[in-house]
Amino acid sequence: MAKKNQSVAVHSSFLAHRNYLFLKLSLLICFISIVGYMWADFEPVRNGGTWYGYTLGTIGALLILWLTMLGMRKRWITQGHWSLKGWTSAHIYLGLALLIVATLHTGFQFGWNLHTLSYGLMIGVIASGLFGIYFYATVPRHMSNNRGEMGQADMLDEVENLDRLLRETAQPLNDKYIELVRDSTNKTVLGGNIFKRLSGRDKKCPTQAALKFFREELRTVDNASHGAILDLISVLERKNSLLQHIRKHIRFRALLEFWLYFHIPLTFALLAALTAHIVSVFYYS
Amino acid sequence: MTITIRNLKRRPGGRESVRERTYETDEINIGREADNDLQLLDLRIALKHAKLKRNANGTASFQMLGGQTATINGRLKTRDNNLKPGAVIRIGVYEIRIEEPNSPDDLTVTLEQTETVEAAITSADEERVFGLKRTLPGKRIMAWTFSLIVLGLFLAFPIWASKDNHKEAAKALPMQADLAWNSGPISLMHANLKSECATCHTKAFVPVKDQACVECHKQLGDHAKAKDMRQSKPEVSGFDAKLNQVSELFNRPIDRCASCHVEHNSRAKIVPSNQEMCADCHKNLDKSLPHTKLLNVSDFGSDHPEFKPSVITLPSFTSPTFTRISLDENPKGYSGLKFPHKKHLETGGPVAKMAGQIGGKFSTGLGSGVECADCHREEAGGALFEPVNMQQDCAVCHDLVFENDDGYARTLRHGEPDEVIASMRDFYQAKALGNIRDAEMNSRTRRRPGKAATLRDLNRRELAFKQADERTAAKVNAIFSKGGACFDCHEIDKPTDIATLDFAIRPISVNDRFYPKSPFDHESHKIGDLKCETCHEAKASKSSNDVLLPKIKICRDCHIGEKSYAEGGKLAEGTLPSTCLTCHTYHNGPHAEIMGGKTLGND
Repeated sequence: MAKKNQSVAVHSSFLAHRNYLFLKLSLLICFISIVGYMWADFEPVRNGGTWYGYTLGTIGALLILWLTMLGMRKRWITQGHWSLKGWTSAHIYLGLALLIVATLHTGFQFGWNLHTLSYGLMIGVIASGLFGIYFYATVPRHMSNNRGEMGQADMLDEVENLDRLLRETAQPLNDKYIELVRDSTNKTVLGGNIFKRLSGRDKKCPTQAALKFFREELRTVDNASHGAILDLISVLERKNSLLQHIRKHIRFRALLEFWLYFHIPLTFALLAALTAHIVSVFYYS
Repeated sequence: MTITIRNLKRRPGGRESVRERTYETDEINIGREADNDLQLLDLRIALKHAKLKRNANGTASFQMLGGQTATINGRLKTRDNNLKPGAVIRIGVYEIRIEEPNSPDDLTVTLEQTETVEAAITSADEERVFGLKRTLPGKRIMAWTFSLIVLGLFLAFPIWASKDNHKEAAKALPMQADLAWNSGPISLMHANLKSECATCHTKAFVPVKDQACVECHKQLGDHAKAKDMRQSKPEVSGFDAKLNQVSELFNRPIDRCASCHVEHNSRAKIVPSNQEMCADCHKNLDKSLPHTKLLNVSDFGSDHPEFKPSVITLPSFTSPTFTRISLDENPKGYSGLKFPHKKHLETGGPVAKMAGQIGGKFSTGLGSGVECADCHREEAGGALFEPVNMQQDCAVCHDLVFENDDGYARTLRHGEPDEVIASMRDFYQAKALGNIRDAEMNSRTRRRPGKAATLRDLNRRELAFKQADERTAAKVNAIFSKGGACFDCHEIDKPTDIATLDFAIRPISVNDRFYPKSPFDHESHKIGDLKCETCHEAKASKSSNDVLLPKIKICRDCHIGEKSYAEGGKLAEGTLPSTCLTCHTYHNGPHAEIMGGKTLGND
């Protein structure tokens, strides 16, 4: 417990920013919206077209515009109370409050129309954002543990270095072994499609296959090649272990970024739908 | 002791250039850092990578620092202490060869960059491997694509289709352009308009106007005079007044048709029925509208005046006089008929006994009497009752036989008093003629011919017709007088000289609708053990003038008002909250004119 407090004092996460200020603000917004929803007198039924419906709709639309501005805000570097971390914290909690505000705005009237499409897109954006929150809260720690002191460039450098070493250590070896070493240096894939990236491993990794092969080979090989193969195995082991770390790192990076490929395009689709929604209700008012 | 480094560069065309540098030491540092004796620029080489030493015996030793590696003679090494001339060390892109020494004290090595230094890992390389940019379609392109699809389908397309010059083209499309704009299912009554948005939404950005409604609802009546409605409306202040102002600002005045009739809310009836809408004005009418005859009302259960049925105060065959009188004033209605309900419904009374003897539909058992349903037949739908009919309902007991002659009952026609009198006169005159004929044909009474006899015959005939007239007058008088068939039920106007036979039935008007503006539905009240007498006290009524309608108190046994219910009124089994519209209607009210194409609330 003491440790936790200490870590908060040193570095508070985007969720706990300013002692959960924006969580409290969002809960207040939700509370006021719900109480107003209960209190306001609607005839004939609760829907987006009553005065309270319009009020919630306006608040919701302004919230959406402000939330979208995080994309602009993150490109300006500042500090202080309105630091990027502050914005992110507000973005998250106000975005979650939007869920309540917009749902009450609908008056729970849904249908196969543009209006519910807008709502659905908003739900999509918020849901992908929830994934984002989860991964941003959990992944960086694992990521940091995984890569230790190594930067991404260092990892790639090291792969190249090890590839060179592989080529050099393979020099004295018999031709029949060379193909395997070349597969490891030339055909090892880092990354690949999204599913490979998210899986964090490559079952068909040629480096791993080569390592496995040479370990087996060591038992039967003649003395002349024995030393060279031992050297090769030690390099392959280093490379294999590095590849595992890199693939884990790729996985973490994918987790951190993947949700944004939903969050951002859906946000813009939502802005378009929202525009059409607002224009349409006044066009046929 | 020295170490000589020969820096070998191969020029294009095979020419070699060598620059020699001699260090006055037997140990040099190798690494990427600038303060190394031998600085090698390659990112794969550590800042401080290795030491090259000249051993005392002239050999060289290559020693890695901090776990770095190098390939020495093709083997991966971390150190090698005894390198003879010809040995090859590879680190990074460089090759270091041990040469034959220039002198006994010297160690000579050749340094050659055998491969070009590859460009450092750039951030682009990093992103290619670690980022998702190359893996997935770009966020920006997806954002643009989705946005344009949504804007095109749901904004541009419907607007395009709504323009007059595109309407025909839009109709030919298999898909309704503005279908997705529908904010909710339209009410059942307007379901025929569901794909015709422009019927009501006539102009872009202009809220639906009343003109669009009265275009179809031409015969609809307003509720009351516009001036009276404005006058009786309660003053709106504070927040509500602000709301109204905002509403006006958006071109939505609060007294539009659509203010009450809100469409596209399938769950709600398009006709609002909440009591407040009526009570707002009607609870204070005495103050807000002093000239009105309407009484204040705000809730059926707790604040509603006693019913004021329209009773007939002056019967007439053509236009009877109706007067609205409160049931509290014990009103009397005049139908022109005599019908004591008590006498007819009494068990064991004379009517009951007679009914028991007749059989047929009245034969509910000897002496058990007549029931309501024997005369009051439900009309189709069961809301009200068909008018009581003399032939069908009364004649079985009240026959109109005035003479039994030769075994035949002579019956009068109902409903035509002049014809009745004429029929009776004809009957008795015919009887007189018959008597004269009989006398002349009879040989015992026939006289010898002669002047005296002719005179006697003439006298006899005159006498016979005179007697017939007298008989007619007496018989007609009898049926129109107490104990007579007509008198039993009707009010009669008698002539001063009965010989004129100028008898007349006073007009009759039977009230068949006491509440013409709030029709009562008997059918929906056929529940539980409700009987006629639960509400109508007919069994105790001795006069047909009694108005046998139940007072509001009886209704309140089951019906409570919306307000009383909201305030915690009881809602026991069999009780139900009722709003104003349960009995009343708003449009076509008692004090309104047909709008006839005019919009609501306009004089």
